[in-house]
Amino acid sequence: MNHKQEIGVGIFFFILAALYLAGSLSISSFDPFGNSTLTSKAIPQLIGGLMAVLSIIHIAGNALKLKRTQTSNETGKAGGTRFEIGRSGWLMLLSVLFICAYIFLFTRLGFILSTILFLLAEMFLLIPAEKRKRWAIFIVCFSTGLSILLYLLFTKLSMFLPRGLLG
Amino acid sequence: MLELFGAGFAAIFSSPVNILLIFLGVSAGIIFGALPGLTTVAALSMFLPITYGMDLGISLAMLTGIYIGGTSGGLVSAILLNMPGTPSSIATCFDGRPLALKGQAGKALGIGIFCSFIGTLISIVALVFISPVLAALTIKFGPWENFAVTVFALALISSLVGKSLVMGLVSALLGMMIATVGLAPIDAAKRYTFDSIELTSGFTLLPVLVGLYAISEVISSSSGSTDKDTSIVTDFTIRGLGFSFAELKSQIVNIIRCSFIGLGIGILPGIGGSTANLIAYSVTKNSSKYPEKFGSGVIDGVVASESANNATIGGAMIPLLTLGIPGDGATALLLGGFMLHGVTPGPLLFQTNGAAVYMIFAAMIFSSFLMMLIMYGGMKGFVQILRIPAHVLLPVIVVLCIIGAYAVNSRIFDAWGLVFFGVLGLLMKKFGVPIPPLVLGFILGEPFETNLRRGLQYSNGDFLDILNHPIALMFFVLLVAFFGLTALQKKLREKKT
Repeated sequence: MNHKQEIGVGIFFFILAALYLAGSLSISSFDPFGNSTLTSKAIPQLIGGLMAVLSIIHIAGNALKLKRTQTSNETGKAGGTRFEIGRSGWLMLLSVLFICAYIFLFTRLGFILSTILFLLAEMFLLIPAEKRKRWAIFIVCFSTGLSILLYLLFTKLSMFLPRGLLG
Repeated sequence: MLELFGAGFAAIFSSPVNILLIFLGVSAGIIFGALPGLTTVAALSMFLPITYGMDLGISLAMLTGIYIGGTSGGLVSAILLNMPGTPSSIATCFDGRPLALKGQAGKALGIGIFCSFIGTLISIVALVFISPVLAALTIKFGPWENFAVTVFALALISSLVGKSLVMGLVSALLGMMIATVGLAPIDAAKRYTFDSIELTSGFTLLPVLVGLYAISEVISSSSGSTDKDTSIVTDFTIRGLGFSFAELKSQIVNIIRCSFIGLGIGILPGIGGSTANLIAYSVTKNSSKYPEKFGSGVIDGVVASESANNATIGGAMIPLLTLGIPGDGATALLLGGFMLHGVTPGPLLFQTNGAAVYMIFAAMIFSSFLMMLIMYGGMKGFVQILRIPAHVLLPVIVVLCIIGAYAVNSRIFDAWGLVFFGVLGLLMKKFGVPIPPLVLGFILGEPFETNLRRGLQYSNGDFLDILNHPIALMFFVLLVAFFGLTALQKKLREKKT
């Protein structure tokens, strides 16, 4: 990671610490033992304060390093790095979206239906395009079979799984 | 002690279901350890909710079986695929793969399995003898001593993980921040709940751990592991143990030395098997009569790596059982296993749940033997499992993780928590912020606050009362010494370069 990114990480944690400290102000103080002990506000304020200080140290350290590298390298590249999402980035993003959709449908459609849909979508997403046709039947059978099997197994283990539409 | 041990073994062998569960745990651990991209932590994350309905003893016995199997399984893909199944087997590739390419895969696997077994056993013996003594000492700890231990552990792990000390500490603080969500200890004041009922009970350990370790791993693996070229070595046989008696004799010093390196590193929080195998390899290479041969296929390299990484198991269990401090991701999940059963590891564990502790010890010994038998007997089968494509495996892991998160409290909020922490883990990896300090910060956040506030209550708000507690002071002195030494080492290194 370059120094600019490190500074960005530092700024993120500083903002987080500031918001956290601001949130600590609304914590109700209750001190049944007089003023001799810490209230429930104290530790969040200590944590937020420490994080803010460490973030500033991180930002300052990397800013100094950046300055040094810029002065020593006269022909240094100008401009920041371009943000690009390649195929791998899209795969990750879609995987996260599929997981979110799965959780959203988990209680609505029920375990079996939502799991079948998720397994189908995720497996077709991850499989290389040229292999999709060859694997299609296996994926459909595997998704359906495994969803039913897991439901039976876990309900047998006394775990509650939502039935949803099939209930 | 012998009586308790006997009772531990008797509890395991009292039911064939117990044996089957441990067998299942060890096998699952080996499979997860062998599959590149999936680690012991992912296996533990998946199996943790399944143990919810079991007794404490057998559930922990199964989980430690996964831990032992997972740490050992990494050698299979390291030798046959040149891809370490887990970070603990990185150094196994250095000489294991060249041996496999020379047609000696059987020998590399054989000696690797045997040394994994010996390394585990040595560390368990240390665990059995050191833990009760340490527990008897720590039972005298009051709030100030416990506070000092948590500060020491937090600072130690934050500085040992990752390149930047500052980012390590920031990560630990982030974990402590997450732990403050919900009701405060002592006075139950609401903190950062935003009037949400779900947030009032805070984040459960399971979604945090499984999200940070397993879901983030699955999401990042989904980005391209399907296209990996895996030239797997399948043409091998293991005759007998895979190596001769003379070869074993020549490695005895190496095995013992590297096991002790692994044990020592395991005890320190945050380093674990991923570092132990590399340190042991470099120590063995530097003390060898033929260091130039390392990397070309000498068994010494495999022996060093596998003895050391397995010896971290017993080492990491020592602070977990006696102080309640997990040394790495795997032991953090074992801590989760205890907590799921309403038990907090620590000095009192040996008194309140002594039978369960000795059952765990007995199960660890049994698991080591099982691991050796399963790996010797089922090697050809594991090779076939390595061929399971990622596009089949990864979605199944996600489903199992979500079932696990949901089943603990039957609330969908925990499943959302899983995704949140999965994405957080992914971003932390991308931006070089170490994850282990966050986990430790999350786990130790609550005892840190409770002990500090309780200590101040006992001393009427006088923080200097800590000076009257020599054990607490000793931890602070150790902490200062540790930071001083680290800074000194850094300066010396900078001078050299």
